[in-house]
Amino acid sequence: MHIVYYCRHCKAFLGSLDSSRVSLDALGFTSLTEQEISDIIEYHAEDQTTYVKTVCEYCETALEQNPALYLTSSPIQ
Amino acid sequence: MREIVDYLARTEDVQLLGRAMHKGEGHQMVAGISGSARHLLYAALKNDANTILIVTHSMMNAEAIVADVSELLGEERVFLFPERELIHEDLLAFSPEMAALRLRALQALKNRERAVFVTTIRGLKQPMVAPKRLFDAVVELSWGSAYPMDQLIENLVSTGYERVERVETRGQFSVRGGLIDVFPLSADAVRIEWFGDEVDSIRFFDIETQRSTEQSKSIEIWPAREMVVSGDELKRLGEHVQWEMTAFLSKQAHHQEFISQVRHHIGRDAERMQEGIHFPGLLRYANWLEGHHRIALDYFPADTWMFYDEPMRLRETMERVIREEAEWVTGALERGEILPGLMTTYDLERIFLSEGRPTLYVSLFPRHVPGVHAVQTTTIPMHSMQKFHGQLPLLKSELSRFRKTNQHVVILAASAERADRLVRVLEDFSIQLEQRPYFDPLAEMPMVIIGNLSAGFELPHAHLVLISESEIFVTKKRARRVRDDAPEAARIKSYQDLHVGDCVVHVNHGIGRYLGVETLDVGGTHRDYLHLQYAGNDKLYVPVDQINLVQKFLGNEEREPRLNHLGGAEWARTKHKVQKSVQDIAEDLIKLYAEREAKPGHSFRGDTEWQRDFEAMFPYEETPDQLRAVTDIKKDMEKTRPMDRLLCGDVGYGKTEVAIRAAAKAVFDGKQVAVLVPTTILAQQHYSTFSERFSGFPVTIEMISRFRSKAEVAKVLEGVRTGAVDVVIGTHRLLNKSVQFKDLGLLVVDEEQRFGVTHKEKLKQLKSNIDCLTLTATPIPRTLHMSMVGVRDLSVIETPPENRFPVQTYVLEYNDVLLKEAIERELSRGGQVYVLYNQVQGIQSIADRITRMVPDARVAVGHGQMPESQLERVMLDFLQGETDVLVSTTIIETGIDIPNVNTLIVFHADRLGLSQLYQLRGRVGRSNRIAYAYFTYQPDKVLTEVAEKRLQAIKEFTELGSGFKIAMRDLSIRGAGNLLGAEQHGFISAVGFDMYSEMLADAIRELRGEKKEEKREPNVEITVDAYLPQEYIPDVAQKIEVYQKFVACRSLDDVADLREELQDRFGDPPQQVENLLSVASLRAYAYRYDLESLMKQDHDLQIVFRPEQTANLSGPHLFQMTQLYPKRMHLKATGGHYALVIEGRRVKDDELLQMAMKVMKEMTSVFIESKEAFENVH
Repeated sequence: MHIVYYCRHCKAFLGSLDSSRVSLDALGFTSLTEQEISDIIEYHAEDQTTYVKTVCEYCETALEQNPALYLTSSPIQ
Repeated sequence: MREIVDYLARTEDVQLLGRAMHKGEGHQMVAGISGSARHLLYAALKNDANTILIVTHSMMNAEAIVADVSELLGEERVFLFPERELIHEDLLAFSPEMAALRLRALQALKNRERAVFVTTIRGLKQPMVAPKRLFDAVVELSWGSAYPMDQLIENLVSTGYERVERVETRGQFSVRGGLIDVFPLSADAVRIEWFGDEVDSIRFFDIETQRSTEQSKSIEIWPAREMVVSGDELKRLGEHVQWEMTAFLSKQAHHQEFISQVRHHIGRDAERMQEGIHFPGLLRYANWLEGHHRIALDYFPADTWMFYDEPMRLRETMERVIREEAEWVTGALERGEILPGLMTTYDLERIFLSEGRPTLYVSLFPRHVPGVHAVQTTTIPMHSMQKFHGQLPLLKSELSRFRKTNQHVVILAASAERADRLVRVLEDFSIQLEQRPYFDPLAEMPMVIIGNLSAGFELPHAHLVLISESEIFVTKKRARRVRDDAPEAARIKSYQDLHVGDCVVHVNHGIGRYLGVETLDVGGTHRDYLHLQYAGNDKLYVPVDQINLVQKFLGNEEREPRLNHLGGAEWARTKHKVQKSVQDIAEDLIKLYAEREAKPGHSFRGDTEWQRDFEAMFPYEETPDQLRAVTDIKKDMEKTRPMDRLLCGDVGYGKTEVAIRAAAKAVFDGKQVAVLVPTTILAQQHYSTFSERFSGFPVTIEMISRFRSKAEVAKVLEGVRTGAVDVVIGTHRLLNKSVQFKDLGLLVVDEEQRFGVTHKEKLKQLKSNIDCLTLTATPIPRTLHMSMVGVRDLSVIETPPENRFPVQTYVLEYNDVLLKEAIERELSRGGQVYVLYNQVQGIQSIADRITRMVPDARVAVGHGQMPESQLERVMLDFLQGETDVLVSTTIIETGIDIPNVNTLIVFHADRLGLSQLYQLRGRVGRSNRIAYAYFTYQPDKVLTEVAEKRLQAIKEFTELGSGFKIAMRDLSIRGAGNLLGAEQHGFISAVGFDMYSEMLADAIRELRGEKKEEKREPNVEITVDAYLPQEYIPDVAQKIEVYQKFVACRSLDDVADLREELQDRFGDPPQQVENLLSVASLRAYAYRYDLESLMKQDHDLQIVFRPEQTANLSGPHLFQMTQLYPKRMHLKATGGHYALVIEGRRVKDDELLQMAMKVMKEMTSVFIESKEAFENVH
């Protein structure tokens, strides 16, 4: 069972955790709201993997510098 | 023992006799033999092919024969066929044990068992229905057989079974759905399940738990009464009686009064018959039903060997019976209670009529008895064994005499331990013996074998000598064999059954009245609620899953508590007040405890060899509670801190034996023992018990009481001072300064609450540094007991001695004949009688009446207005057997044990309280004889409603029904008062007993610095139709019971168990009950995972984890969980709480429940802690 972190914008693979025995606390999920949970985290039954959407450094910098990119549906191609 | 029988059977006399009987060579007679030797002869004449019927003159003799013969024959079946004691009276209620014994014998006869039957001549001659009629009424059911359920119900009703909601005692049955529970008189309770008209399952069940125990392929259900008659026959009989009555009355030109009497009695009987109603007095009409006289002999096969035990006495007995019957018939005819020609008249000349059966008369002296024609008389000489009274040299010389004449000497010991001891003791006197597993005619030395006969004997022709233990030592009593037919003594688990109208305590709202269970529709779902009524007609509905917040109010028997107002401050105030007093009590207790801990005392040595010998000499089987109490006490005594233990146990539960063992321990360790009792009578009583029990041991026991002269007392005191006296028993005079002990080690105080304040102060000084054991008969309730653990040393004896035959209890209208018969019957077996008449005025006239009716009886009167010394004298005379009948008010003291009193007659029983009656009844039935209690009420009296209710409850008394439980409850509360001080009684009444005990337990725990265990209970609330529908469990009391079980479920195993029980007791659960079970499973899961809650909000079901659990929740697994229902589940986080949400929009309640079940099943994986951890969390 994996947890895969990827960038929600560029879809780049950022890293993964292999251990399934990672507590909610350790994952930091505890600070998320219900809305955020459903927005950020997805579980795929076929490969038994939890996908966590995050933002990679590259995209983060790009968005900070060009806030207008938020307006497009897929800001970074 | 069997080998002795075989040995005797091979002797010439017995062989010849057996052959003559077998060939039917006319009636035989045996003379010269009596007692146990005679019983041995009976056993020796039993072979594989014959049925034997032994007819004796009294029930007591019959019982002795049964005891000896079954001991001798071992495996063989020996049946007692008791006589019916009251055949004329219309009984309101009676104990079922006797009827059960009769049925058991009849069963054996139906099955043509070749067994030994024992009855009395009266029992043999009493009217019965024809065998065919009775046997045809037996219902035989087997698996898969077709027998419509309705037919069985009809059958059970017509054969005397009582239909109830829940079967609790013999003779009842209940119907639920496709199930019938029946508890026959002489077999285990059985549950029968139907599928259509076919019997689907037959299984036995446990009355206590109501759960099935084992399956059975088939079952015979015997009628609950012998007088079996179908509805039609009854109707016809009624018509016949009506006709006879009219004919009789038309011939009479009596006064109007007589005619109306006849109409009142006979007319009523006839009406009842025509309406098809059974009543106990129906037996009077048995002759008219059958057309001719049927007796028990008709049930015995034609080749039965008839043994008439002492024909002369049989004849005398029958003469008496005939006289009594005639008296009764005359009286009854005059009173218009019976019609002429109804009762059978016996022909004295025909009483030995055996209808061609081989017959043997056994008589001590070979004399002629009218009606007995014996062709041949065999004389078997016998000598009774002399009593040695512990004089072993005498025994030794006797033994050598026996040896010289080549006798086989057998010494019987009751158990292996006692056999060991016997051999040891006799070897000390250089008496040579050998212990053998069984009798061996080749053995040369006297042999000790294990067995039990009532007396020893010498049979010179057979070269056989039998000596029983009781002849060697002085042990009067004889351990009675546990009869397998005695019902298991029911332990009182709970007297909390809620009845509609009872007062209850709600933890938060106070005292209200319970009005029943109601199914309410709240927001579209149905659930059950307890309906409580508060002051001002306020209503409170408590969901049944909160049933544990509601307790039955146990307080004062006499006074109803005042209901609280809902929402008022009153309840809080009451609770607060009680809280404070409880706090004080707890502090006192703990202080006392600490003081005692710090005090030095004597530490006794471990058990000596003597102690073990002494304990082995106890003639009864100890109950587990007794053994535990003894162990507790010994442990206390061996510690350095002084013991201060309270021993609670009901009258007759064997407290004294426990005290005696403690005394023995002290004495064998060289210390003295003082036994302090409140009355002279008790002193006398204990003195004889102690003396008897210590006989054969070098222990000196003395008594100080008013009945001893000054010189005697002075001598005793001198002995106490020098140490010559080991155990001294006395009243408060023991506390006198003049009493100086040489080395006091143990003080036993009986019934402490009966001592005055000044005596108590003195007592305190005395017991500050010696071991003290206090005995009390008022039971201490278990809840209280638990809360006192570690603060007050307490041993509780709750199990009654098992081998006692229950007191045969009758509830009936008073009549003189009954009084006379009951007294005569008791006197004829050498017993004594209590007559209770609770009014000083008129008590003398009752005594006079008894003297007139039973001129031989020595009657004494005792009541509270007599001077104390006179009363004491009366009691003492009675105790010593100087008087036969004691007519008294309720002052008959508790705690006085007069084993010889085995009949109790109570006048105006309807005016006495239940607990009083219960205690009264406890005063008989303390020996190994069957005891009788007659609760009578005045005839034709208009009973008040209260009295009627009370009588109803007394009725239940005939077995351990709920009346008994009420009595226990009252006593328990009184016990609590005694234990904690009288002033606490008021506080107990204020909040109810259970709540009080809980508060006390909490206060004690708090003071001792123990933290109250935080109960983490998950909050489970699911709206779904989950309740017990009326159709499934119609009885409210059982509903409550089941709901309590639901609430108590903590694990899935519990739920599975409950499901099984429901299925077993009530049949397949309907959907609502399935839902209840699912909710219970969800709750069990919630406990297992330590969830915070499981609640339905709006449409969704939220499974909420505790915040401290988050570190233990595996993130990935949680997300994986949501995929169980991908579109319907998500994770939610609010304020540090995580919750799994199952979306319930457009999902039916039942479906949602199933979804939740699935989620909970899978839940284990989301916890990081290993799975095994959960297995331990229940």
